[in-house]
Amino acid sequence: MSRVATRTAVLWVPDWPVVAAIQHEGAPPHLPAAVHDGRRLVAVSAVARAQGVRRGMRRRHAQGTCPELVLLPEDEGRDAVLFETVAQAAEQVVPGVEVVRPGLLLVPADGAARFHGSTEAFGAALVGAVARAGHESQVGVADGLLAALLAAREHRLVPPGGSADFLAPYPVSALVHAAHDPRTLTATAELVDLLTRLGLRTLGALAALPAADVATRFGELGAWAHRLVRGQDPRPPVRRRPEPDLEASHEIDPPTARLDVATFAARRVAEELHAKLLARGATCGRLEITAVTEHGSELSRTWRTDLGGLGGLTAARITDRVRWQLEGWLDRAASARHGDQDPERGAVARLVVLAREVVPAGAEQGRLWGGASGNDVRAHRALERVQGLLGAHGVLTAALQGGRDVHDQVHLVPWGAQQRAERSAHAPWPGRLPSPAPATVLPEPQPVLVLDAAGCPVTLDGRWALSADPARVRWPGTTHRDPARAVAAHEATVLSWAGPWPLAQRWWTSEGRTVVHLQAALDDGAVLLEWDAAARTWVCEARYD
Amino acid sequence: MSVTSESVAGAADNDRAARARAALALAEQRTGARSLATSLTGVPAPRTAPHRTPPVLTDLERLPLPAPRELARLLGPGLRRGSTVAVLGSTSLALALLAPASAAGSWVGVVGQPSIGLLAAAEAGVVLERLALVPQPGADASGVVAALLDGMDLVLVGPQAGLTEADRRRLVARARERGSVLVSTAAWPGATVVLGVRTLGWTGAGAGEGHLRSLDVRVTRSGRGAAAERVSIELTLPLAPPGTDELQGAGRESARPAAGQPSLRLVG
Repeated sequence: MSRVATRTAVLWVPDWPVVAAIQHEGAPPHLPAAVHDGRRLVAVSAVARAQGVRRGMRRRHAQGTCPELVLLPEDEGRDAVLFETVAQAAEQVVPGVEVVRPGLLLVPADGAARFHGSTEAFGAALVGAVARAGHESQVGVADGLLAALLAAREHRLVPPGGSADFLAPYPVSALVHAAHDPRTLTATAELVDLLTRLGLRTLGALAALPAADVATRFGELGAWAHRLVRGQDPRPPVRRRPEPDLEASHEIDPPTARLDVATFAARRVAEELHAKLLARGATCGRLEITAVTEHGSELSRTWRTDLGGLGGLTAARITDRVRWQLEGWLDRAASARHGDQDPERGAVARLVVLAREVVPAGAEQGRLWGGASGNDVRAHRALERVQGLLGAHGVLTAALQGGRDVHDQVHLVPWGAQQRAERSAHAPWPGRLPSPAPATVLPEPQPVLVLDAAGCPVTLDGRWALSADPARVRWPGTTHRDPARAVAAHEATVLSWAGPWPLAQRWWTSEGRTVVHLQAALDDGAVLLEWDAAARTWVCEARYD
Repeated sequence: MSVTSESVAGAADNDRAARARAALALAEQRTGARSLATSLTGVPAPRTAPHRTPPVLTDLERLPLPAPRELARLLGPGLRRGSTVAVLGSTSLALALLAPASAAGSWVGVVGQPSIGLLAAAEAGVVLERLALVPQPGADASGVVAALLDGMDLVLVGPQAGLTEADRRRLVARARERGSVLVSTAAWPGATVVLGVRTLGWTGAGAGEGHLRSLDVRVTRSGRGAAAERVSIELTLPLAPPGTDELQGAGRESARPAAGQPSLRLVG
């Protein structure tokens, strides 16, 4: 049985990352430009290429080759957001397009070509629409994905049934154009390498092999490649049905700093948004809540709603989110009012709730055999209930991030809020405290005295050397209105100790601070002690228990 | 003669039926097809001394949650669902207790323990994506713990959760009904299992050199019912995080090439 590939059109905007970066950064388009990921160039503009700059070059090398080269940072988010204008322009010509990656669009060509009269007219309409959006593009039409991708690079139309002949002279390395996610890309590159070593240097040579033999020798990936090169790609483009973001807003007049008034307004906004979502039969992946204060400053936060998707997005739940968020802001605004007036905070004058990633309701569902999926939904519901009891900041989730001391390495966020960790945990972080980490990290460090054998306080000199070996650690005892946090006065003997480990962090900023860590195994448990170089005092930071 | 062969056949049938039931229970439990509330009305689990129980299904209705292998002498095949475990004197041991279940996909809630070392938790093998913290549960700690017991397999209750005697009884009943495990780091009267930890000493540090590496402890189990018999073992904390020892999960072991055997190399 021969499968006929879907006639596919590919719209390709060459060097999209550079085009997007130039547009976003406002760099002059006539200068050579390139986008780098911090080490190497990942995309190069046509002007730069003409001057000898190539993808994969080191930054220094590229600047040496072409001194007036404009280097722009890589940002996948920016690429994707700006490509939206291209996708929308293409959608004026043909409804439903698939964005393979920023810079590359896939469109089923059959129906659209019939509508526009001919494939040529359709291609011209596509290029014209994108040109009106301000970008140059190329279109290729062929049977199957790979042929269309390669045709787009040559800006040509391959007649129906001609894909196999069109593909035959290409080297096998052209296969990597059809791989889009990094994992497939690596696997495909390995397959290409293997094929070349076996003497199959062109796509035609691969296509000439019997399908069964290819599948036996090269497995799943080989069979996929074989289907592609024969122009028998059975997968039609996934049409995207774009849904615009939905917005509901409400002016609060007069502006209020009272939570109940603001919540009342929030309820109305939530009901309005919910009605809009309901009317479209849609749900949203993220809620963006923005409050505009009377001074005009905007306070905004994004909430993920897709986590508890099965619970449904009701007006009450939207209201809860808005209320939690306002609670925090208005509390801080009230406390600021008692002291000096903080121009950032103030009465709320306007509330906007924006539903992003709007998708048709029912598009998401739990897995049929997914015990884990059911588990997650149950846990999410429980957490939402606790959040309802305690407010948004009552429930936290944690993620590891880069850092050196015990506090820096953990990133805490309210559950459901979208905040990314500040520092990468994959960087080496030299000077980090050694593993194992302390199991108890005191929320408030306890001031202690470290004494030597003679009973004199142990201090550190300018070279971070201890004045004497520590022999005892004394807690002077603190009182606290919460008895659980008060520390009774007591003393413990040091059995063994390790350190001191000086740590000067961010000394180039105003928040720079130099501390020295010391691990001590005491007769009643091990502790992590910290010497504050500025205050010249010891505190107990954490317990190893 | 015929009697013997019949009894042998009968035993084989029983064995097959038991295996089939176990497989069915496992599948139902995984898919959530069996509701936990109905499973309660089933036959209660036979109470046998945990350390004598072979590592098989003890409770056909509800599989125990995985527990560290090192604690098998104290806890049996795992954390029995619906039980209450108090871990006194070592937060590291409490984290090690949570880790295998967390790694196997369970959610963990931590209530009233603001001092929990999250980095240590991650090092012990607790999956932070499935960990929720309620550091200050406030006045309604009982309501918070109850809500978490509804949705999570493991809830750790710390000393900052203000619970009355009546609250504790209600929460134990809730955990039993929902099939969750309540772990307390503070004294919990009426806990099913109490693990008391006594520190023997730290190794790794000297007089300024090295760093703290491991903690030797003596763990003593006491409790109610089958756990009433006191058993002590010596352990070295931190325990190996789940998934690192080769005896857990036969599938993983078979996927890994045996030591000394050269790995296959692609040629040609």
